[in-house]
Amino acid sequence: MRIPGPFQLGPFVRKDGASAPALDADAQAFITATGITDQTIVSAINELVLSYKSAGIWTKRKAIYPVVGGSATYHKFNLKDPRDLDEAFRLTFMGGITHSNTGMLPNGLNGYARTYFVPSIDVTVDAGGLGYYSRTNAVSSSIDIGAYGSGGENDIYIRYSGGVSFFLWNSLGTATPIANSDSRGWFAVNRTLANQQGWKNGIKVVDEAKTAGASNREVYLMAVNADGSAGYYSTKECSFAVLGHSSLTDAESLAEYNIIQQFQINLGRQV
Amino acid sequence: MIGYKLTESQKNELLGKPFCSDSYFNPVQDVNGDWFISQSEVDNCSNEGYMWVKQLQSQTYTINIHPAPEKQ
Repeated sequence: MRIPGPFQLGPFVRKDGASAPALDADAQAFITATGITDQTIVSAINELVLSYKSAGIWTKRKAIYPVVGGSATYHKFNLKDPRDLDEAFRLTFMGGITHSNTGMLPNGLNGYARTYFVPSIDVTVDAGGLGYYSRTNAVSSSIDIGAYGSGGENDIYIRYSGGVSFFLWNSLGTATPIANSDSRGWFAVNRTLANQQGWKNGIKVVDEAKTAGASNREVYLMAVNADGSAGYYSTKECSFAVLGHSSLTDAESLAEYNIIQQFQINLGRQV
Repeated sequence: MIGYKLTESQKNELLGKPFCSDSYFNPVQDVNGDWFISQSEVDNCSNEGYMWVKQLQSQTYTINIHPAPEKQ
């Protein structure tokens, strides 16, 4: 039971005054790096890390961006490696992005984030994936996350012109358009050997065999790296994103959606 | 869209420079080849070296969008 007003107990303070349970070490490292003190966020981050580990997905992701705290300085950190370094896949923000407690809202004109994650270097050609939690319902000529270059294409068109989604991971550039009437929620792409799969809110919407080929360009967030230049800028508010080097099973993809959605519920910003 | 037009030398001065903590200018070209930065970059600029952007005049522009690569 939660006690209202000034008598509300923090999530790590027991009524008997005994010592609070320690945070997970990885959650603690992120909290320390960001300097976040809000106990609702601290609790949510700890639960997020524990859930990822319990589901066996923690080691399959190279970058997890919880997008908490409300400013660029908080949002830039990677939960998996919260060092303030490019090699830790810490985000760098370019152009117009509005940062708030609900996420990062790009202006659709020139706002995006660099991830320093290059599929041809950071993943094997027949594995991996990425995901984007969108709080905005919009049709636009945007590619919301990813990269394409001479080696291949790794990206998601969440709700492109015509109201369709494309999901590509380590693909030579072809994908089946999937009708999409709402661009809110968790969108993820995954490759398992010869097949690339697209997921929306825990439901697999496409699973197709495509020739493998990883992009040799750095993945951008809220835009795409179009063979060396940012483009197709997104207008969709981003409240979570991941970059993965290993494949997820169908059960793991569903579990990851449930974990992320519970995280958003804990922060009161779910869609 | 509302943006702030830059000269070529202004664009070169701002490219890759921070306008506030952890955020960098990103000038983009419109359909006529002119360079612009966004309202957000101007409004949020707190870098003492680039406060002159707040003196720029806003104007409408049309962003240059290339067709997406064929998917099928």
